[in-house]
Amino acid sequence: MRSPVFHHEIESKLLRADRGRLMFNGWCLAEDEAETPSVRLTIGENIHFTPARRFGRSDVLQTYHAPETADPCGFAIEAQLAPGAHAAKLEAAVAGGPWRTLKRFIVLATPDVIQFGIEQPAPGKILDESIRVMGWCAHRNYPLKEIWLHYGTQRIRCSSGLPREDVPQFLPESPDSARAGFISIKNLPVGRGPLRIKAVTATGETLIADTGTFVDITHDEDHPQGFVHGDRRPDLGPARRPVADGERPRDAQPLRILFALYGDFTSNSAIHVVNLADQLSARGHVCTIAVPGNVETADYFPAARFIAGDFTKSLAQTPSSSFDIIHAWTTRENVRLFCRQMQALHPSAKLLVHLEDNELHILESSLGRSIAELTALPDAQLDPLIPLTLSHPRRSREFLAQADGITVILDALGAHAPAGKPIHTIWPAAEATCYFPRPRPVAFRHALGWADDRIVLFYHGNVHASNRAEVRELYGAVLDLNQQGRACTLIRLGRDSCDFLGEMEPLVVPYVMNLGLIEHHQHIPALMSLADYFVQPGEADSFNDYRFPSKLPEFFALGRPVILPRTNLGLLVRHGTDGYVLDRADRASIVRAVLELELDPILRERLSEGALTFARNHFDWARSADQLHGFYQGLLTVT
Amino acid sequence: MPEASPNETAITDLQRQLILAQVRILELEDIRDEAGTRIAGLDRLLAELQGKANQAISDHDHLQGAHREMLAHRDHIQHLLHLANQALEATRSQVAQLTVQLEAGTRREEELHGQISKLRDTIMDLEKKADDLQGTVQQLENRERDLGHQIESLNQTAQARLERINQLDAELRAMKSSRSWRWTMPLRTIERFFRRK
Repeated sequence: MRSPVFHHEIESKLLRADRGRLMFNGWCLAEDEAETPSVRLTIGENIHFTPARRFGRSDVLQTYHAPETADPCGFAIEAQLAPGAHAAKLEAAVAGGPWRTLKRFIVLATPDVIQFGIEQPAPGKILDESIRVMGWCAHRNYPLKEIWLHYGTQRIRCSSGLPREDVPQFLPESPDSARAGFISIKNLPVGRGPLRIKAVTATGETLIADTGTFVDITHDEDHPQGFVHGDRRPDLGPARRPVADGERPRDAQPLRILFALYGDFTSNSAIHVVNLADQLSARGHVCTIAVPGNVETADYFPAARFIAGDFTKSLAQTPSSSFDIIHAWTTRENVRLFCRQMQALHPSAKLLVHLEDNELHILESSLGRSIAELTALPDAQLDPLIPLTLSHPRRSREFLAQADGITVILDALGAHAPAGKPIHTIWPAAEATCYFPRPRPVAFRHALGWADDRIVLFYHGNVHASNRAEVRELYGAVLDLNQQGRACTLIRLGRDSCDFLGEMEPLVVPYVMNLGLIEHHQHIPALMSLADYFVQPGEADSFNDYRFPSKLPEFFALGRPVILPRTNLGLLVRHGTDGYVLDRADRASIVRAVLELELDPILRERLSEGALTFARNHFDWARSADQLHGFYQGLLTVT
Repeated sequence: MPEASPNETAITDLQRQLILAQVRILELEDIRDEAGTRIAGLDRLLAELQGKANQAISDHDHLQGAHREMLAHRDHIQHLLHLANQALEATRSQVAQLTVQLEAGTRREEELHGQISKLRDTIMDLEKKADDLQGTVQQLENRERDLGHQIESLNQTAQARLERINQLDAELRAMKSSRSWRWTMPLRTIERFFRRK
């Protein structure tokens, strides 16, 4: 007997059995046979599924010139599969003939959801009564070990394994069907949210399903007075918003750029470098950021496009090709030493040094000795005094003199550059996906028990020797406001590396919400939205005149009035238009400014709008990166 | 202003916890978003693997078909194998014969090599003798050349003497045919007479 020749097709490219349910269509013809062949799906070797339906396919008959008696050649197969990957085959046979394999393939089956029924309370209603919930719960394939009910913040365990006579009738394949009953171990306590049932299988797998019931219980035996839930959970808003990130034009000649940072990726400077490197990378340049240690902190920027490395490994690597630019981020000793060694490895690279602080002032504050005193010391005595994390008063000048160009965060820092050196100012910015105008989360402030007239200030930043005095002024202002009868809370983020409050501490602590270090920078803006005003304390001095507080772009981007001293950025901000500029942002001035803003809603509104306008006009990482690239190109064309 | 009461401190702490819970929610949302991206990636990977598995199955089926075809040609291949074995046997027999011939040829070759060696010695002797003879011939030729020179010299001498003889003979004949010689003939006769006596 001649073997039949089959023509067939499965009309699905990849077969997936979601929740174990497999469905697919196809057709099958046997050449020179008048009858429709039988088809079946075989899983493994012994599990067979015959078509759930057969239907006509006149198009197939026409294509193969088959007689009408060959119809219905179409088929639909439905199967319930256990989770996992299954070897499957489509088989066909003509009348009286053996089964022939037409096609073999893999079917992926995802786990089936748990099957359940809630019988008390009635399904689909809002459960507002503190009662015990009962019903049944089982899985087609797995025995269940635990059953829980979840809603809001509540997790209620259930007694399971209760006998059921009805479940085996409609779920006979379940190993638990005869004992699928459950009941919560206690009346549901106060809570609010969709009721979900969670089952833990004997193999440890957790399965969760929504019951369709919404729990809104305001009273229970522990809360007879009633517990008020809001209509929705108050929150602080999203961490980030989508921002159209169009494809950046790629530069014709990609540069290899090395940024050398003095600290790891948790520092404020790292945010600047990362954003610049990211923007330059988007333009096709190859950017590496080297840090002295903790290189794993680069993980805080998961979407970044730069290469992260540490100093030791960067020096140990044989350069595959030379860097075009070595950009030292400050003159601090660890950076200077690293960059000098990298220059030896990449002699053709241009060296740039970035200045973002009055390094000598920081040195004075940290060592508690004046620059005059330090520079009077011979090298043998001076060198051991200078830690790697600070700038050397003599060697930093030499380093700047050896640089091909200087970048500064503030024009005033250009005074620290050697005469005649090309200088470029890099404006920092705030990441647009996280820092954007955010409404005040009134509901959340109410949830905190804060009245509408409570004044909330916000300060994120570490306290160290250089800024301890001015942060103390801010704390003093908060204390004064409260002592004057104005409820005021300062939300404070960051670490304190020195004691700066002294005797004021026990008095001011009740008004300070100290949240410590927030690990992920992108979560700070949501917290900032709680604030009414942002205050940058300080005054014009040898420290502030030469720094750009990195918080300021973030303050402005949030769209709240910004109170700041007339120094650094404060020299550019227009008082009463862009922000509230104080000659000295000290304790008394901050109090006066806050009270004036509290009394003048029009000024408040104007400064909120003004802050946003100022941010739009001045803070843009893409623009800063473009300008920096132009500066690099200018240096590279100089022979 | 008095310091905060324990209740106020507790409330502040709860407020702090509530705010930090919001931060935790943001962290969890980040994790959820990242997990969603990863799950989507895994789903793509799974679909890719499923496609590759199906391709592997298809390849396997194709190889099985090829295997079946090979089996179908098995008899023919076995026949070819038999023929090949026969040819191999015949070849082996020929090889054995050739081996014997080769061995004989080898022996003959060795003999010939011996003869050749002897002949080479003989040739060398003959060549040496030839060289000697060549020397002798050379000497003889030199001698012949010397003798030729001597003969030529003698010939020249003989020629000169013959010419002298001819000259003297002519002179003698001239003298004897001269009148004086004839006129003095009786004298010489008388002289010979007396001498015989």
